[in-house]
Amino acid sequence: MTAPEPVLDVRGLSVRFGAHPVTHDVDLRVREASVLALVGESGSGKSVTALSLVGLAGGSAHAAGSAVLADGTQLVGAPPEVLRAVRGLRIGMVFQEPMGACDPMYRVGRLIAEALSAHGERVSREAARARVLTALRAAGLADPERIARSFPHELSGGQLQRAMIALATIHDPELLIADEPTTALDVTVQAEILDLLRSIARERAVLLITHDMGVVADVADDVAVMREGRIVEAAPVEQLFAHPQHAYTRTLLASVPRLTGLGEGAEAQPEARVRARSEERAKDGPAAPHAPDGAAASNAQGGARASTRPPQPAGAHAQGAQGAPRAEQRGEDSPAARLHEAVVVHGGRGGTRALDGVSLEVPRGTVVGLVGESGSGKSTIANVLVGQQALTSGWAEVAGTRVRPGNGREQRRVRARIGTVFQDPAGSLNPRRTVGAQLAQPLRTHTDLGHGAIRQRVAALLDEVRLPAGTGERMPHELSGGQKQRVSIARALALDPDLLIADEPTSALDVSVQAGVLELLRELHDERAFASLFISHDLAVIEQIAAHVVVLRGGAVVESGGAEQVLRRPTSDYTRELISAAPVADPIAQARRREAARAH
Amino acid sequence: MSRALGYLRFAAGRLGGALAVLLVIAAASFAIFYLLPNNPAQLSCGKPCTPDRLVEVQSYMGLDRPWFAQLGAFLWGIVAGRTFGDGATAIHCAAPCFGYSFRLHTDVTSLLAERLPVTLSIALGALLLWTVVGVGAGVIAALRRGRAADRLLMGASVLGVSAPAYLVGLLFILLFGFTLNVLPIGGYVPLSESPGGWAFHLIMPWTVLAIINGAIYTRLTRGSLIEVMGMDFIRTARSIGLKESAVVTRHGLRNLVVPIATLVALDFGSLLGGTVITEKVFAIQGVGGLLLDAVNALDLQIIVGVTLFAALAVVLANFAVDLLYGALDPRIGAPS
Repeated sequence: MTAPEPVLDVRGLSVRFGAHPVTHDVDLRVREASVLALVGESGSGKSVTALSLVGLAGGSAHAAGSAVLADGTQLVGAPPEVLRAVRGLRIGMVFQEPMGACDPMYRVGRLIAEALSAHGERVSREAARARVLTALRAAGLADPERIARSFPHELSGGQLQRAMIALATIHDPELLIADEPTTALDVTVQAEILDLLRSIARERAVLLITHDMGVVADVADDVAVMREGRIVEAAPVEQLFAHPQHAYTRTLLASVPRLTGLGEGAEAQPEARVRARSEERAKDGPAAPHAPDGAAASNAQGGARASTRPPQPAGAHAQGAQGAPRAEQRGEDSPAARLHEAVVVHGGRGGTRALDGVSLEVPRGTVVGLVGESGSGKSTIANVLVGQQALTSGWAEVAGTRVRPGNGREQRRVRARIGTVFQDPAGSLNPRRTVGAQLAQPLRTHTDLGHGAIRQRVAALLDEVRLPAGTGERMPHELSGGQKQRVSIARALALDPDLLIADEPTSALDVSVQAGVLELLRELHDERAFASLFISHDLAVIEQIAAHVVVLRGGAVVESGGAEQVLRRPTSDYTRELISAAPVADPIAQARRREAARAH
Repeated sequence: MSRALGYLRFAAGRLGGALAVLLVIAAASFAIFYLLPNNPAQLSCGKPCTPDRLVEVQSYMGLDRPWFAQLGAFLWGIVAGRTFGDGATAIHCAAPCFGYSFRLHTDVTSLLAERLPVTLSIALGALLLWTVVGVGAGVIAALRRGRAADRLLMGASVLGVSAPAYLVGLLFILLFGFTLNVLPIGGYVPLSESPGGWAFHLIMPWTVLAIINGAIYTRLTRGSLIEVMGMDFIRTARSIGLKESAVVTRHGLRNLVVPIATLVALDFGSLLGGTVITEKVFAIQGVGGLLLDAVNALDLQIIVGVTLFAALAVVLANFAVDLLYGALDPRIGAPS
């Protein structure tokens, strides 16, 4: 592995924005025909490191140190004209969100042709066209003529990302920097793009920036783990996964949610617990209000944490929290949420069917996981249940009451029975009001509690989501992403809802933070026994929390059943495809699965 | 459905909407006849006016008929022309008839046709000037964001936005007309007579209008360009090694074409309705001047006619913008 001439040799690279240092003494060596994965959580400085190599880190970025290409070209401190010549010609770049990375005003073919002629090369129209089509075909697009003719918005994310890879490699650069190239894509598409990257890496060096350990295990040859602007560990991929040296690497690996029972080697301890729990639930059946072990544990905790709610059996506590007028609404035998033959058609007759006859049920006290790729109708179901989307036909009910758009008394009362948590915690909190005020809002609107009682409830809620008592006085921007999501959860639970709708609640969070939020949701569920519709594209996350799983595709239910059954013994090909497409964070197991998939 | 057919249907829908708007405006401006405490026949009849004569004039002008019949006759006149009175005293107002001024003994359409070239000259020149200068200043401000040039241009644009036309106009006349004595202080020379004289006389009105309206373009361009230059596709454009000037023009400005074209078309529409104050300050007889004189003389036929024409210009400009969107932005106007 000690190749004499690395394609890119970075030594002691430090980047600062103005006076504010971001990265410190970064060393990276990208070998020929290999993938170096630069891994880290958000804010670790991995993108800044890569972008600063080519002078795209922004106007106020200053780099110091050394970054040398194979022929000795020094990139750090190079004049802008030198860096411009390097960009595109010698270092190609692919970015995260292909739709945003393409200028919407131009056809895809035109964008690639522009890259071809960006360096003053005189190419005839026909020659340019031929090269564009060749590049698109090489990127795995079967119909390059149509792709070249299309505007970005007319293509899918996967097609567009392939086109962007064609664009980045049109000059056959010696190094390709791929900055989270699959993060915005569905798992099955991600698998294809990763295949393409792997084949590209046979001819050139790739610097892959990612936060996803599964992606690392799938394509990387070498790994550098970055944290707070420093490389904490660098090793060949098998070595790093088998014997992580640094504590942070171990934490990172441990917090990756994994699907169990996929033939991985030794299982980490938390996984064993998760499996036990999900088996427990599966045994109890979907109607079981709670997992007994969890409830016992949290009751012990609850006493110690002086919750305003006295510890009580979960079944009884469904009768109502302090002051909330609710008991009358509870048809105890009606499920928390039910959809019957729900159809949503957008754009009149002949329009697209966002939901195509979906029937599903969220029994009381149960977490139902809703899995599917983009456009499968996951979020449409959530919108129907909260009354933001009218059904074209069929019906939906929450806690025994029909839901429909509109603001009548009945509908408002049903909506007070639903708590929602969304993907982006920053966007769902009001940036100009304190956390405490935002938690008090639903209590003030829907209950007749007095000032003092509301203050107590807010304090209790913050305590329940494991936030320090002083958080109530703080503004959302003072909190981290994970803390903000905890606030969202507290707000969603403020009225002690029958149903919690969690729409990708951990997808915007770093893995280590995600693990904490998932753990919290699990504990709260055990304590409070609310029903939950948990929407996610990530099967491993679903497995950690859901007792029941519904797999959606194109607005229809493909498969549903107990989590154990759907995730371990799926009956539909599509579920199997989803499971096998998600890379596991283990290079050896992942290589084996890849082989198996190819053999199929 | 084919793309062309979808576009056609879209255009037809917009045209229907535009016609509906015009109908409402026509009815509203026509209502002025009834809301104002004036009897148009009385005004036209003059003093002294015998009761017999008044009835005669009313009948001649069509004022003895019910309001809906009058509105109908007015609207139909726009399409097919109309005739006032009959026999030897009949006056024919050819289509499109926007009304007839009994005070000036001319139909409003001829008056508009006479004044329109003047207003068009002011409008086109001023629009061109302020678009180029306003957008140019906005681009400079955006690219030099936070630096001296940006602050200077933004400060100037605040002055431009808030300065009243009559003040700037009079100051210009004072400075360039009287003190420096380099430009004519007013008047209009038709383009057909002397292109040089035409431009020479219009430099000041163009500049005054450009100062006032261009500032809005500067602010719009600056804000939008800063936003666009922060987008991901700009980073992509840089990542292929494109020259910065090409990044700004091909990817930055190209994405501003839609908002700027929208503003240009709408401003052009409203300029055709007359630039009342500027025309007055520079003693130019355009559509604005026509309207102002008519208001002073309470010549309701002209007021209604000009109002409707101005509305027509604005509505047509809006319609043009709707059609332009499809051509300017590939994401719009292609209903699938």
